[in-house]
Amino acid sequence: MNIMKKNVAVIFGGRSAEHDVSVITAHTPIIQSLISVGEFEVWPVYISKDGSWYSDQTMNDIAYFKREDFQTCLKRQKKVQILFDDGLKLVWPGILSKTIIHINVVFPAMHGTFGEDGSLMGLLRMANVPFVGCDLFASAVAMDKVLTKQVIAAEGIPVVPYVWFLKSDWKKNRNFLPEKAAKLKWPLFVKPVHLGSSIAISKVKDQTELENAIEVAFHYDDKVLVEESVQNLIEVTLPIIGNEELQLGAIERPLNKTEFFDFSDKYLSGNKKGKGANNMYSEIPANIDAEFVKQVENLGRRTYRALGCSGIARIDFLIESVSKQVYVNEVNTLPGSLYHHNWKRVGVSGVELVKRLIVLAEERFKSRSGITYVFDSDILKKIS
Amino acid sequence: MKVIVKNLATEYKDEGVGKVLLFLHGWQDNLHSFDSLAVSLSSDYRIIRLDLPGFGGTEAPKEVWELNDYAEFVEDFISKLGINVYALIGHSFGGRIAIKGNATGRIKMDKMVLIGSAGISKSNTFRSSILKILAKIGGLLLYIPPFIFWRSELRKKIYVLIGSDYLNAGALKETFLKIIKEDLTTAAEEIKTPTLLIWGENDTETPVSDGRKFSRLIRNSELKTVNGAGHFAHSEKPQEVTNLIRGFL
Repeated sequence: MNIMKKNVAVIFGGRSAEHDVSVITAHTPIIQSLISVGEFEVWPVYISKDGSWYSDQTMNDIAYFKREDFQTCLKRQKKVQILFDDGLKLVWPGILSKTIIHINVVFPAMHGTFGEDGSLMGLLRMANVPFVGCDLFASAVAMDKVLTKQVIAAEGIPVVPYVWFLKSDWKKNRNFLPEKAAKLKWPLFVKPVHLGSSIAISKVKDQTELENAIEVAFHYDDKVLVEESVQNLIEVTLPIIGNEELQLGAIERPLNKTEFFDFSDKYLSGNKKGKGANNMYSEIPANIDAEFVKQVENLGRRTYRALGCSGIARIDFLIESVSKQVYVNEVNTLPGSLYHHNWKRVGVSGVELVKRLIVLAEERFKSRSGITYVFDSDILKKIS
Repeated sequence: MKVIVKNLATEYKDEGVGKVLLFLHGWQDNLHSFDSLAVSLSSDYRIIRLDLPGFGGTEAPKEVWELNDYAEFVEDFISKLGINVYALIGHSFGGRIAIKGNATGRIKMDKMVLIGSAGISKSNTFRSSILKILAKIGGLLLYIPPFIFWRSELRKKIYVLIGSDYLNAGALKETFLKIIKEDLTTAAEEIKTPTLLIWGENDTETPVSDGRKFSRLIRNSELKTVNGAGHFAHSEKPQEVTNLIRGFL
């Protein structure tokens, strides 16, 4: 019976370069799996590219977003209003009355800016509602590739040598870069600091390419990272779930088709039906030395804890296979499509994964509710 | 790879080593149109292909563009990459840009190849003008009941009459209209660059008669037709087109 079901709001879309990837993640596997569980009433909350909020259960079907007249349909939709006091409520105002749904748990499915970067988590903390995945602090730090390196390096976790600078630095003086970059071994990687899904990342071999790549990165971001490329590279990634006790997924190795692994490889190649992250591009489990497995698992756990991750995250590694040096490259607090293909390989189905993540969200919320945030004080009375 | 040109993130591919061949694709197409040619030619040349603004992985212009804006864009792209173009190869709309860029001196090149190039106004210009006016009036009528109920279907029928590219042009509709309005007869007469004209014999978009006309207008040109090919001769008959280009270069 519906009245017994928990209301779960899946929030996706958003003002982000990864808007479309978010739509895929929300549906495959999150909404599909939540509906399959049968214990949840699923409320899709879609944030359009212009920042408007909509919620209609017809949006539980990804076909809604693929139709040719999608924009026309969206214009006809009534926007949803959100109440943040005493939990999160979805409100659809009507002429005579309004419909209100009290949300029990939120499942954020937003990649990139205004979602995965902690903005949404801040909003949900204010609303005092349990939500899936990493909290504000881990999300905000992990969204900044430089901050991530700074935090984990301070914990003794190895990272690839890098330099970083702001758009304002670049505008003022372009000459400082060769000096900074001179300390690094070429070829170099240029990355916008806050973008995921390999968007606008370039590998450069000379000064002209470097300057062009920096311009591209600054087209999307105001902070840029330039880092060394690792020779004899083995790239692997490790998804992890948990709050206190961690469960590791399989170590996965992307099989590079191009010079480096880009957005198309991850989400599009060999998978034109848009069923989420491409299952054809990687080796699971990665066929790497036992020594590397041990290091990756150990560094994965340490990185997860150092950043204060909870719920789910994915840690990316770069391995120099000759010198046997393992580096942590970056952390993704909302892996595309939750990396459900990887979890299946360790015996966790999409349905089990979303159920587990909801439980983790409720557990974290419960433990936090034991913390005292307010104090009685007579300070106001003392002010003359 | 991406590069910023005219403040637009521009997708391009740069393969092979040697003299630079720069490829410009057609309307509603992208750089992958030349995949087959790139594979065979990159063994001897440096092949650079880009997605033109509004297509493929390149951002759309933020305002309505004219053909000259596209030519200027290609000029800026070349300058950004710091390359010298040995041959510019344009298909259809890409051919328009090549002609315009060449004639205005914006784009420097040693040789030019035009494949099913657009640029010759349709002979029946009066008919197409009338149809466009009808389309605009029709567009307004379609907001009035009962036509509004069949709006989508009727629009398709109207625009099939004036060319389906307009219906599919989306945000680039005004740009498309500005571009097709520009006849390149005079520009073609100003070209001195050795030019190879490649036409599919069954091309219905830009018929072989357009190729013949360009052949007369461009003084140092030769026309080659590809048997059994239509408007996309380079992807329909890549081997034949590759051989023609190699022979010309």
